Amino acid sequence: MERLAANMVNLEAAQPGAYTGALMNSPEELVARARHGDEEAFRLIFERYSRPVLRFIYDMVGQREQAEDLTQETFVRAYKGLAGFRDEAKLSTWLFAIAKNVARESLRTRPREQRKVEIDDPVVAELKDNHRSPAGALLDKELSDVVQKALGRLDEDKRVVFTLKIFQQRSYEEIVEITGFSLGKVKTDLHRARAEMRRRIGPYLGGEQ
Amino acid sequence: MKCMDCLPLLEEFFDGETDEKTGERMRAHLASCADCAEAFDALRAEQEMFLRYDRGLEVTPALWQGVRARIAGEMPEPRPQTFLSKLRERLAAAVAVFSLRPTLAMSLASLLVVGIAAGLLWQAIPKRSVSTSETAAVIPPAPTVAPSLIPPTPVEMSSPVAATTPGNGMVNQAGVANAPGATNNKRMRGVTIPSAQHVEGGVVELDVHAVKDDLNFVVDRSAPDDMAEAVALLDADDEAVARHVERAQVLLRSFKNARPTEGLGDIAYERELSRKLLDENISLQLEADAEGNKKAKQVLSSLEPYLLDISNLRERPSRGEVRSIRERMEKQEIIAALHVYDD
Repeated sequence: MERLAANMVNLEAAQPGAYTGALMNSPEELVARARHGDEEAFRLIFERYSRPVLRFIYDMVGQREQAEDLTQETFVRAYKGLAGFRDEAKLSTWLFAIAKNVARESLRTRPREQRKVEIDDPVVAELKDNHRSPAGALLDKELSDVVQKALGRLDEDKRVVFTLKIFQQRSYEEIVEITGFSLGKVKTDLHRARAEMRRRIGPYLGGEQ
Repeated sequence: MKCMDCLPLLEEFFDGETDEKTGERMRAHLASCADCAEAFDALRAEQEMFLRYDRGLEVTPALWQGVRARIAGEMPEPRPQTFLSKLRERLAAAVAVFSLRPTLAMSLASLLVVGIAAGLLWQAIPKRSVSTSETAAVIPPAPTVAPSLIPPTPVEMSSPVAATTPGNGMVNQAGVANAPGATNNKRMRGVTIPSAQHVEGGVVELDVHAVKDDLNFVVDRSAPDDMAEAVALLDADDEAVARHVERAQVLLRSFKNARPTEGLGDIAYERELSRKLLDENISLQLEADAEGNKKAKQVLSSLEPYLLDISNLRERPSRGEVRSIRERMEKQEIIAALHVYDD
C-alpha cells in the first residue's frame, strides 16, 4: 500500500509518460495485466479488495484464522479464474461471489452443530436475560461481540444477504449477482435477518424493540 | 400514502432501493406520520450501531505472501485477444501518448495539415492519363489479392478522402482522450491519483474507457472521484479515519433520505451529527497533516464541505437549501465514494 501510494505521489513530478502508469490502474487494466501474468497488477487487486473480502468472509465463518485462510483461497481462485473472467467492470462483485462460495464450502465441512453459536454462550445468555444497556454506553468491544454472536446465529442465506447489505453496502442487484438468489429472496431474507438481529441486539439499543 | 403502504417499503426506502416516485411519496408520508418516522429512525439507529461493529481484523503482509506463494508459477491462461480488444488497447495507448504529450500531438497535427495541403495540391496538378494496360501492370489481378493489399496509386494516396481520414481519426482520438486527459488535468491541479468513475459497493472502479466529450463534466466529477480513490488507498492503519468515514457515510445517507419538510427539525439529528463529525474531521486533518498522511488528508478535505454545509443549515432550512446539498451529493456521488471504505 505504501509503495503504491509512493508511486502515486511520484506522479506529481509530472514526468513525461508517468501518467500512463496511473491509467493502467483501473480494474479493467489491472485484470488485463494480471491475466497476462503481471504479478504486480494482481497485488494491486489484492490490496484494493482484500480488506472487504476478509471482513465478509469473517462475518460468514466467524473465525479469524479460517477467514484469513479462506481469503487467500479466494484470491488464489480468482487468479486462476482470471482467464475466464469476462465482465471486468464488476471485478469486486466477482470476487465477492468467489468469497461467498469459498466460505459456504468451508461451512459445509463443519459439523452442523458448530455452524451456529451455542445458545449457552455467555453473551447470548446475557441477551436472553433481556439485559438492557444503552448503545452509547456499550463498549465497542462488547457491542462487537454481541453483533458477531447474533450474526453467527443467522442461517447462512440470511447471513450472507445481511452481511452484503449492512456491512458491505451492496445494492440488491449486486447481492442477486453475488449470491445467485432471486430478488424476492434477497428482500425477504434481508427483512427477516434484520428482524432477527433486531430481536437479539435490540436490548442493547436501549429502545423498545 | 398510508402507514400500511409505507411500512412494508420502509427498509427498501432506507436502503435507497425504491424508485424516485415511491421515494418522494415515502418522504412525504414520513414527514407527516410520527409512527412511521419513528420506525425509520430506528432503522437508522440500527445501521449506525452496525457500523460500529469492529472485527479487529487487518490484512497482514503475510496474507499476500501466502497468496503469492500459491500463485507463483501459475500464470493464468491468457485469453486469446480479439480484434476489438487489440484495437482498444492500441487506441488507449495512442490516446495516452497524445494526452500526455501535447507537443507531440501538435506536431503530428501540423504534419497532417501539411499532408492534406500537399494532397490537395497534388490533385490540382493536371496528370498524364494512365492507360488501362499501364494500370494493370501496377495493380495485381484483383480476384487473387485482397483489396487492402493492392498498393495505392499516387492519386489514391493523395486523394482528399484518404488524406483527411487520419485527420478525422485524430479528432476522434482527441474525443476519446478526454478521460485520460482529464486525469492529466486533475493531476496538474495537484491530484495524486487516477480518477475513479464508478464505485462498486465497497470498491472503486476506474472507467478509463468512458468517453466524455465535455471536459467540464469530467472536471466536475473530479473531486469525489479522486476522493474515492484516495479512500481506497488509505493505509490499513488509518483506522480512525476509516471509522470517521463510515460515520460520515451514515450521516450523508441519512441526510439524503431525510424528509424535506419546511423546518420541522427533521434534519436536527443530521445537523448535530455533522457538527460532531466536523470537529472530528478537523482534528483528524490536523493529525494527518502532522503525520504527513496525504491520503487521509485528501479524503478528509473532500468530506469537509459537506459536513460544513449540513452543520451550517439553519434551524428551519428551506427545501431548496436541503435539496441543493442533496443534489450536489448526488451529482458528485459522494456517498458512493465513501462506500469504498465501508468494509
